[in-house]
Amino acid sequence: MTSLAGRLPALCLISLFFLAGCIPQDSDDTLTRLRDGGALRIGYSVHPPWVEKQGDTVSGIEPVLLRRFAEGLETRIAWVEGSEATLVEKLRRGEIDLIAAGLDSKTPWASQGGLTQPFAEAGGKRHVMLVRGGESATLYALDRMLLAARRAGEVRAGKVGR
Amino acid sequence: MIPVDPVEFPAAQEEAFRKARQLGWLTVLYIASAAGLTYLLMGASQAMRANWLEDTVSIVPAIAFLIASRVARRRPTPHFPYGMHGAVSIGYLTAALALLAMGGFLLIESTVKLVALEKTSIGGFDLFGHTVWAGWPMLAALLYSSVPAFFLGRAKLKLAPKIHDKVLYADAEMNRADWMTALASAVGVIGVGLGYWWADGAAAIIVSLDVLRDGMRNTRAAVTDLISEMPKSTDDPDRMNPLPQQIKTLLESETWIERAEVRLREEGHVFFGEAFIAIGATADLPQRLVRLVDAAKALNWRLHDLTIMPVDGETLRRGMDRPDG
Repeated sequence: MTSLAGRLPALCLISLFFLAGCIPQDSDDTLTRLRDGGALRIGYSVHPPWVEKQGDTVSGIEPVLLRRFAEGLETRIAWVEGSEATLVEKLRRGEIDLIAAGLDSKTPWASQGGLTQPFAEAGGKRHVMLVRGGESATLYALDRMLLAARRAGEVRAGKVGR
Repeated sequence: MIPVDPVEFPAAQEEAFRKARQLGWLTVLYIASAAGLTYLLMGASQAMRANWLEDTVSIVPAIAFLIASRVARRRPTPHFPYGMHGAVSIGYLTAALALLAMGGFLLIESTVKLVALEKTSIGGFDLFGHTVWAGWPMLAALLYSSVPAFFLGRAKLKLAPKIHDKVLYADAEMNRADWMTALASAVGVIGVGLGYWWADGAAAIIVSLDVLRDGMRNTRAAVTDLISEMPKSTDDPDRMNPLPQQIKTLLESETWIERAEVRLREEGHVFFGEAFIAIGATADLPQRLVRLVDAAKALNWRLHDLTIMPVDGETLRRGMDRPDG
């Protein structure tokens, strides 16, 4: 027991050191697809002021943040409208990459994918989006962008901006 | 009413007992802090959640040990003439049942999640104004919840054989389960980070099987103790304790005793029991019995109280040879 247990920590540390460079990764390579110019497929549900629709244009706090995310990846966005329940079904089937619907961290859909970090707090709710489950690299990339926006205090009083 | 002797541990055991209680307090403080940290970091990770629940349950044996070992040392009173040694058995059963329930719960929960294809992912985490991959602080928390458990468990395993405390054994096994499950959870976190979304749930299942197995074995031992199975070796449940046979040999080495039968039961750290003897001579019987009781107690400090009952040879053959009939 001592010899194995004695070596285990060292083995773990060495393998971690080599793994650290390639973590996190997606199980379905979403981020790689986006970087190669594949569209960011966003399921949205109107939920003012987080997601709004004027004519054919999707607007609101979450779309503004997500356009910035897509710009960073140098890709375009394909918007898919639907109710939360249909969007979650599509997310599970991998037909869309994430859901923007004014969700908060207590959403009952939490187990159906990966919740982002909260990018805003309003009315005692921590607002989040839902990324397809298993896609840790995509979730991490979006989290980096959202946390940076939160730290800069960009989302407040129903608006995005400094 | 004659209460049994209040004396409990010889000097060497007393020292081990004191150390064990210190380790018990240390364990409670340490698990509470580890559980708090895991709770802050667990997010949606199934394995981290399993680890947190395990932390919360793994505090139970340590608390059971602290309470039971204190109560068990109370002096016998006219109302509790056998003392309070049974408290240890109750504490042991409590710890074992908690383990069993939790193992079952975790197994069902993680299996359901894996079957439902709920894919886990781990994203970013805000660490003092910097965004880091949330897996790294999770791994740090898992390290914190495994390294001290490893050493606490080993220290307890050195003390437990000295004072024959099964709650302390269960507590040491719990520490072992802790660091092993933390390691499995770490594999789950890294697996999810590498895109193997099922690694998290699979690690949680391994964790739960380990807890479940510990729970079943300990519950069985606790129950058989409570229904007074003949004492078994503390560290090897497949071996009988040699003490009843030693007492029988001691008694039968007396020329005036034709035959002896001994039965003992375990009450926490100590044994109580009766010896039935078929005797030839009856002169000075009270003095001889007192001398024999003292000689038997000198065999092992765990023999706490022995009643020696003279019977006729025919009764002894009929009554003791066929415990089934």
